[in-house]
Amino acid sequence: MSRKPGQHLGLFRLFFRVAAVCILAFGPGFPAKAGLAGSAAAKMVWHRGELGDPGSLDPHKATTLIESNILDELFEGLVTLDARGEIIPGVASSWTVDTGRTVYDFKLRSDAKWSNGDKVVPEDFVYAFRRLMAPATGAPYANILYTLKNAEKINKGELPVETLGVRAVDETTLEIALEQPAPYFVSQLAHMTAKPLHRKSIETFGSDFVRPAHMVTNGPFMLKEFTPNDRLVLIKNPFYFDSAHVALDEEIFYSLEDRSAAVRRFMAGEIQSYDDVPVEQIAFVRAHLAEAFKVTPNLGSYFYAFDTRHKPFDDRRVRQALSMVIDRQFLAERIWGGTMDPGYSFVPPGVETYGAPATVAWKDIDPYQREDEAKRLLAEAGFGPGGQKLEVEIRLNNSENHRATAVAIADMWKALGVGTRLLATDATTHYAFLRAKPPFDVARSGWFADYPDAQNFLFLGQSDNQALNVASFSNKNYDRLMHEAQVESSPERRRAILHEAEALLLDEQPFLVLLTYRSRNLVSPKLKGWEPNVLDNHPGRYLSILP
Amino acid sequence: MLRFFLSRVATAVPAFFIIVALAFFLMRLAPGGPFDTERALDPEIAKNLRHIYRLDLPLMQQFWLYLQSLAHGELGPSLHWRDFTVSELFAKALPISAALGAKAMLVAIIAGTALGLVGAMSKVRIGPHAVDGAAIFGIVLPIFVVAPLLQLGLGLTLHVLPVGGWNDGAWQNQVLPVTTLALPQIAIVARLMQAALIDALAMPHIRTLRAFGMPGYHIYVHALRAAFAPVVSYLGLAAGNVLTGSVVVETIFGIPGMGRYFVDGALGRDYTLVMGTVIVVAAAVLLFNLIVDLILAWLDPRVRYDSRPR
Repeated sequence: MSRKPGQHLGLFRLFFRVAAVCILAFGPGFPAKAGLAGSAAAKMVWHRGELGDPGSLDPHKATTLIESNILDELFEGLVTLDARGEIIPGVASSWTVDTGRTVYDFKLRSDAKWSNGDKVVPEDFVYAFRRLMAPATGAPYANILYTLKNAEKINKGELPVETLGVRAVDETTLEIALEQPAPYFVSQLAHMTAKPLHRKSIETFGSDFVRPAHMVTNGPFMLKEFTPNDRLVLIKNPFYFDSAHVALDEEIFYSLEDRSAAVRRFMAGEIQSYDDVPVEQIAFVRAHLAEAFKVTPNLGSYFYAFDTRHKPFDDRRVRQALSMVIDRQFLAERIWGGTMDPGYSFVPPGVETYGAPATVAWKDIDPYQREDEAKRLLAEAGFGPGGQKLEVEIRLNNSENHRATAVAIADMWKALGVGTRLLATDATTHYAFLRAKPPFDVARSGWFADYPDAQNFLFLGQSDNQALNVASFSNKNYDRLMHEAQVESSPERRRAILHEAEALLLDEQPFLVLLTYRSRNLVSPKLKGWEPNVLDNHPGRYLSILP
Repeated sequence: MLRFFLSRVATAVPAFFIIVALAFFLMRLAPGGPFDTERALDPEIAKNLRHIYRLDLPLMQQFWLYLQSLAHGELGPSLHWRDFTVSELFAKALPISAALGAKAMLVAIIAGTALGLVGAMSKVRIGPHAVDGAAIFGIVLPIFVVAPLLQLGLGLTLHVLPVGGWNDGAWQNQVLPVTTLALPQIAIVARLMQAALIDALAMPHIRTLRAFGMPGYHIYVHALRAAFAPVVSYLGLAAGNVLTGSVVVETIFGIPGMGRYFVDGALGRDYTLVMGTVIVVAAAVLLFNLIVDLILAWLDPRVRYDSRPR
């Protein structure tokens, strides 16, 4: 021992000093922030929990529902949605269409303004639509507005953007020409891809125009702050034409991917709404949060796609048989806790312009008869007793509920003597597989409406819809009906044609519809003006918060 | 000591490069790409997007471009958070994760050491077993159980702390996540400390000190110095992980740290984000290993001397 014993005290002292610093750091030395209750008294703030974060606030780069919800608050298109999810005039106060139904004239409101006080002019829409279609922008959903004249060719680099069928006629009139008549065109204009953009700020800041300090918007709210995975703060836009009727001062979106934790935060009053509930907690939520739990029909279909290019799924009888024996009531109630509806149509109920959808022919036949019929169809196709054994592989993206659904279906198919294998992959792998389209048997898929029109579901079965026709279904009659509906001028006749197309699709069963979605929201009773609707869209403009 | 330091750095640099290269190519082996989402894109549009993000170039060329931008300190644009670069995302998230992790580690070191000391010094036979038992409890309880329990107890039932959220780092919002992060570390440190201390107290030089009639605390200082070695080795490894964020804790408490980027990046094939997280973690692990080596060398001269060329 060469050192003096006293030196060793250093280590001990150091240890205790660190401990003391640590205790101080954790003590209430930090300025305590006012809780939610404190700040709510002065300002009316909607603390809004959402299942995820926006990937981009650029309307041309956005793709998800959460992005759409935020962009609807920030921007107002020619038309917009009311609290019930119905189309109402937005920046356009009125519009007319020519007799050929391909040229629309929109009259813009004279009091429409950007959040910096600039007037919203027709040129802002011309600029935005051209930017959407310019290949350099790389807008993932540009194809939704391929309805615009020359849009597809411009987006594929075959024509210059100046040839797009959108022009400013004068200071207040915007003319939009379509490639061909599109009866659903006006409802498409409520989509996030159809928002106007403030040219000057984009030209000044480039892709940074979405930063809070730079972003100029024309909707009821404007961007104040955004921290990924934390919160996005919107404040009321004083220049919005109807701002006198906007009650909220702030709207704060919280990204809450852990649904159970979100429910706890809702119960603690930290958020006033949340747009999902974990299926395994439905019973608890129904028991303890009955008043706040809103389950409403949603425009979304949950289905399996057959690979109709290959045997044996190119055979309508096999597809029908497999579809017929599925107890959809069981799936909706027992697997999904009543948060889904049994699906018997391809277009979910609730599209106003379409009325009640067509349904499968055997919807009301009793299950035993259906099973007998399914066995007969399979036997005709050469499967079952005396024939081959049908083996099916279901591909699905990993999720507890998708898996439980597939397991239940495998069990139901067992009654037909069908053997089933499940192949679950992560979502990206699954969707990449569907995009590449190698041969498969059955794959899980689904669809949510971009705009509330039956065409937005039925076009999934068109043979020219390469990207979205997962079943590779190809039927000349179906394509013909869809084309007829597209050019039909009478809404009644169009509706009848679309019903005919849907009936054909259900008879052919390239898509085995299992369920239709219902949205499941937690909404505090203090949140006034929140209306359930099929688009599950809830603009802050119509909401207020009770003290 | 300088020679020792330099030799460690010399091995860390190639290790770092190998990790970057492996991560880059392994990531591309995963099926699908950043644009394969539920709503399939039009094939032509997807092709155009791959072109814009230069994902249509040959892989070796992409790797070379990536190394070039890395050499300039650029981690590239995120493919999911398309309004941000990876560096911008990390600039906000890393300090948050690091601050939470550092607090958790400090709590773990202090509480764990104290518990270990109490166990080792305990005169009753049950003492060490009690600490061991409590520690095992802390180790086996997964954080995805502890976190919701804390939220339910202190947040929902007693209303003393917020259930979640970051709230610009208000201390109330940090207590539960730090506690959750610290609990398993406290348990491990306490066990390591106690075992090492019991061993150290039985060593001949301690017996000699006792024989010389040294006061109790001097004996413990000597014993602690020897006992710290395994704890420090462990802490180095743990710090690299804890400081770069925990996906479970951050998701449950809604904290805008690094943890979420690991999982979201990998699942969404956000290549640049994945590379960024790999680089940050690799750098952190290498750095903390280096620090641990230096501390161990300081604690135990044999480590220093062993590294000298013979």
